Amino acid sequence: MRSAHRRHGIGARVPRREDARHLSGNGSFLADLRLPGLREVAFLRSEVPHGRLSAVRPPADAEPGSVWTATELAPLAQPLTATSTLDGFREAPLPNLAMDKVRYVGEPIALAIAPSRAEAEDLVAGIAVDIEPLTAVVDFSDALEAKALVHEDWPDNVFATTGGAVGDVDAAARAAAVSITREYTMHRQAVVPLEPRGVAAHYDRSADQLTVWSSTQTPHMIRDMIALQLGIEGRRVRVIAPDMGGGFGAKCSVYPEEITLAAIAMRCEYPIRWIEDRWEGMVASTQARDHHYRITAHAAADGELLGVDAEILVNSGAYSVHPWTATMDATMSSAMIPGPYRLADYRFRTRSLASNKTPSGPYRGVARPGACFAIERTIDDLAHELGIEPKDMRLRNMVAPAQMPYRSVAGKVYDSGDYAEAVRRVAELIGHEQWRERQLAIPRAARHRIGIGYGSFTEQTAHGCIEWASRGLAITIGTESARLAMDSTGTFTLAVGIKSHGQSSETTLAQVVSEVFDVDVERVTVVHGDTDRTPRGDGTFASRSMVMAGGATFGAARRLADKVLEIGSVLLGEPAGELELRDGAVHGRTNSIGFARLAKEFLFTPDHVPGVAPGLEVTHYYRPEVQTGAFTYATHAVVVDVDLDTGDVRLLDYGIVEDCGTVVNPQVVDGQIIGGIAQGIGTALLEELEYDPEGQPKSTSFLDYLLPGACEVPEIKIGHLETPSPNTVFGMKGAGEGGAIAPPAAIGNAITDALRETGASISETPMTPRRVWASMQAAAEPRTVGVAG
Amino acid sequence: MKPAEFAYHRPDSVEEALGLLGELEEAKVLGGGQSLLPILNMRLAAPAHLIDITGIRALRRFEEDDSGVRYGAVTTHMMIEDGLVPDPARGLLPHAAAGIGYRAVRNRGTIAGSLAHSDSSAEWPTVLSALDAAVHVRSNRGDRRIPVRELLLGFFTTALAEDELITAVEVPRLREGTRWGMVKMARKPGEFAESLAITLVRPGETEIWLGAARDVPVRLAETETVLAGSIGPIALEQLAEAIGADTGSSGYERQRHAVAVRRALETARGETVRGAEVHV
Amino acid sequence: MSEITVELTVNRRARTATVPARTTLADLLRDSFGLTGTHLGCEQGVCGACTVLLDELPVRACLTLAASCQGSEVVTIEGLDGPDAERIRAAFSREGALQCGFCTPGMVLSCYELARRRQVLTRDEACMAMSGNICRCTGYNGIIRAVRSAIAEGIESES
Ligand SMILES: Cc1cc2nc3c(=O)[nH]c(=O)nc-3n(C[C@H](O)[C@H](O)[C@H](O)COP(=O)(O)OP(=O)(O)OC[C@H]3O[C@@H](n4cnc5c(N)ncnc54)[C@H](O)[C@@H]3O)c2cc1C
Ligand code: FES
Ligand code: FES
Repeated sequence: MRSAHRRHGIGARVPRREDARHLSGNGSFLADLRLPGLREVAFLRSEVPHGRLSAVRPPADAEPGSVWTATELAPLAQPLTATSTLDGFREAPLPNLAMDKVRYVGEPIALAIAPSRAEAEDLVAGIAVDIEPLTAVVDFSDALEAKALVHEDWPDNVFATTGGAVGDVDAAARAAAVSITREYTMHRQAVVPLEPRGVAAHYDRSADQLTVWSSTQTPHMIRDMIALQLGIEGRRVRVIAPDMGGGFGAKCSVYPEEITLAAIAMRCEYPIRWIEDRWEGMVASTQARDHHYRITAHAAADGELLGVDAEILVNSGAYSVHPWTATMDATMSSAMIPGPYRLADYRFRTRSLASNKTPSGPYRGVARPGACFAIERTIDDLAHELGIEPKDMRLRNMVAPAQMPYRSVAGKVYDSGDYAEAVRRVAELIGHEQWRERQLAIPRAARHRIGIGYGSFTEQTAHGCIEWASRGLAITIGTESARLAMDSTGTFTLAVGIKSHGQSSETTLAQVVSEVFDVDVERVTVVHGDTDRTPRGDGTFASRSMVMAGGATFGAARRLADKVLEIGSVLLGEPAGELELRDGAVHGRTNSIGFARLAKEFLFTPDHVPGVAPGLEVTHYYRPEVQTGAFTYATHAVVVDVDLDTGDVRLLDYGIVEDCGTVVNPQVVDGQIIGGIAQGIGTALLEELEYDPEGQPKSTSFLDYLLPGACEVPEIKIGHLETPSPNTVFGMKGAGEGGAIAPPAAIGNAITDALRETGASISETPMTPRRVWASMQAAAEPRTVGVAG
Repeated sequence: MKPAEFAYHRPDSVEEALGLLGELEEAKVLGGGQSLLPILNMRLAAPAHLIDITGIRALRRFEEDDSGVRYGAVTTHMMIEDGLVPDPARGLLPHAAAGIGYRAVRNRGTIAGSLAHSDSSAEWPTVLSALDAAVHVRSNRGDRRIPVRELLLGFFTTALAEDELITAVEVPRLREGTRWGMVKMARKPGEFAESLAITLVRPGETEIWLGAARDVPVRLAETETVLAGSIGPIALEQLAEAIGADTGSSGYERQRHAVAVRRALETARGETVRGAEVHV
Repeated sequence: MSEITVELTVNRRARTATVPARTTLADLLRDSFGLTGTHLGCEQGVCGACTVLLDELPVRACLTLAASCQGSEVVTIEGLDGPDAERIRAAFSREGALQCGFCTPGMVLSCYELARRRQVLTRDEACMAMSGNICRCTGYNGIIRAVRSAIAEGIESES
């Protein structure tokens, strides 16, 4: 790993500056805000998956203005419509409050305002609704067969179909020694940031300013959309995102609650606030995954992957969320199926389906965990058919360093790295050979088995506008901002448009400033999450913050450094080119001047610094020149123990070797990786938002939606490769999501490896003991399982 | 979510509590609150009155004699886990207590509350059925003693009348020469059981109880007969079949119960078994 | 509305509040006393973010009525001090045991009870002992290292 050339600069293991306030209970989350006169909001939400809403009647004794329905709200705010440039895309406006139909359990119908949350809930309990239930569209086949129409004016339940073909898959099939077809399902998940969402809003009449506090990853975007949906000028709206207890994608879309509270607050004398409770978090925050794959893959006898055919279904729920749209998963997934492999012949079709489930939105890894599961399980099964060690099958097919930049068959430009090296290194890290020996040494009569599994991927991070445009988004995201100011005491305030909520940006971005100025990170305040105090930026998602905001910060710091050197040159009487920024001061050959004195001289008495333009502040916008992104990649390796009697799976060892380019702070990167892996383990083994056939979500509390706890996450072994991206400042690549992508693939492969002799094949997540056991049972009964090759 | 409104009462004595229970409509006893509070928070129940019995000192006492131990109703899982009260079952009670939920839940949850809640996937209903414990119940109308096996009538349903309070739980001493095995199968630590098997093995007799299979814990009579008739260990399939006959369960559930029972048997017999300790 | 008056000690300070009977300890601390370090992640007893010490024992503040705490002593993250607490805080920061910080107060309080017992825990035991606190960010590796090292340092400090 690159050694830090600055004490607190890039690569330094700087302790997190966020820790102190959280360890003492002084964080300030949305529910902690104290606003004078604040009243609390509770929502009435649909408990019917699909139905015609004919009446909403507030309790007779409700005070005027304390209960709001769609009728009162309609004149104040427009429903959000996520648009897309994809061919044939069908829009599904997302109502702020349901008007004449409800389309999922959890959909907001009305809200009540009271001095306390408990009283607001009392009011909600008194609201009467008439809903005539309709047939619900729940699973893939309901949606495809159009058992009912989620949106009556559509001919079917398809948001959009996409497809494409490169090369000649049929020719590949003819040339292949082996062809297999497999089906996979990644079931629906909740995202579950530990802090639920929340919104507060207050209209200040004297300042004519609407302030909205929201637990959101994208404050500037929320501000734009509030202004647009309310039909007011953007200058009148300020959005603040306070401390946030995680987001992972669930706090990344524009929500009806944000629009609704903002609209109503403009009619209220007092601030109002809604804090999502856990049930609401499970049903009314965007959900994720719910993918089905049918993959046909062809390989030559030597293991070369010749062609892949992918049929992808995504159950996207009832509406399309802004700005991602209901096709976000499908379009990402089809692009990620080719993985880190050289593949010439590829054909795909995706269909994004509407159903009476909660709208889908982003969740860490966006679609890649599903795509990775599908392709990586297939690679292992191909390897098995060919009698090749699965990890060697990967080595055989991976894009080589010499081929970089490599344009994948799906049109992605892989920028740099040695994919195969990650496989070799992780195999060493877990002790592949020793595990194989232990695996073989287990007596046949024993009632458990060991298996080894790998999962490899390459992941586009920090992409620019063209990438979002290629997926049909109406908002193409590709710039990030930073404003850096040196004040009269020589300390720094950095304001960025992203929103740190666990990513440690208050530390890492200060490190970027420190890299340029060589100051302690304690001398740099990082402001984020407030549209009034920060320059416009897009937000924190898609593993983009460090690269994009880091790029902007670096640009701002470099430009401010030039200014500081210029001032130093005048004050020290030495040429700027011979000065150096070191240890909080400008150093010349003989003299030096500390930042504090320099700033004071320049700001208090500019006449002492003739010839230098005023201002000690720089705003910089960063847009990567190459917009195709920086590709982070990794291989995960896992060893499992499977109980043949119960289907229980234990993780015996877990390793990852990854390359996220230049590492800014090793502790932060490792934290992102392990946190992501834990979520991936949740996807692989535990988490499932089950719906019954009538469309009722079943696992909507923490009592039945199982999250990984300390016992479910083994000690993770991490190895780093560090290939700087040619496309980004410092060569950084995004590190936020990769951990979550490969665990289902690696674990699925390991379980299948453990159970090879039984013929069981793992094709669904989560791989619960029930499913693992059932797959063994099914394999034991001939002709009931396995789509043959 | 927040609970609906209720009136709160905190009696100092059992008599006062019984008075309140007798006279108030729609009243509920509040023990440790570890089952009731989630239900109130989610507004799945909205009693008009809560009678908090945790302030009654008399309900914290325990009495021990030759026949067993009598625990006051508000004895917490933690007190049993940590051995702050005697254990007449040679380790079974602390072992069971330690597996209930999480430490913070065990610090408040009570033994009587767990029985009154009657969830067959919880520890105490099955363990105390197997041990043939009994509850002491009082109301203004009089006192009675109800064996746990008769107290539990179904999911969240017991033989308690609305005005009755469990004041104590009486656990008999585990008979000399009896070895126990207990296996809780749950998806994660702290989760309620997917299967909960208790085996009591004495010379010439094996008693098996199973929780989480039916709405109340069940004794596996058919399985016991099959076991009694077999020499040496029986195949898992055979065990599963017998358990299916006893419980009506099938498929994966039946399989899981069979594994739990087999492991509990192995534990009780002192045979080594993967992942479980031996208790004598 | 049915109200109760509760007197208790919070972070070593005597406090009295009159609140609706349905108020939980968590809401009492947060709304009446402004101690917002006690977080609510589920109100179902599962996540542990609301963990506080009640008469020295960790409990779920979301599953405890304020009224039931009459005469009790409560310690929240804001009032947790002393050498054990400081060792835990240092270990959490050093080991990367927090990211968003939402689970952190509950984690620290659960860890505090373990540290005070002065009992070495294996990794598996530490995981088990911390299994009642959910963290969605860190993946627990850092938390478990911090817990074990805080325990070890506590034991060392006395020998
Ligand atoms: C996250 C979590 C995990 C859990 N995991 C487990 C687990 O793994 N295993 C397990 O067994 N339990 C588990 N529990 C439940 C816990 O054990 C409860 O403590 C227990 O079930 C109820 O006891 P309580 O004293 O808290 O009763 P309360 O919640 O106060 O009351 C429960 C019911 O019993 C009634 N009641 C209480 N005391 C009396 C009395 N003396 N006389 C008459 N009626 C009375 C109440 O009116 C109420 O109906 C868990 C709870 C939580 C929150
Ligand atoms: S909020 Fe109390 S346990 Fe989750
Ligand atoms: S640090 Fe975010 S939940 Fe633990």
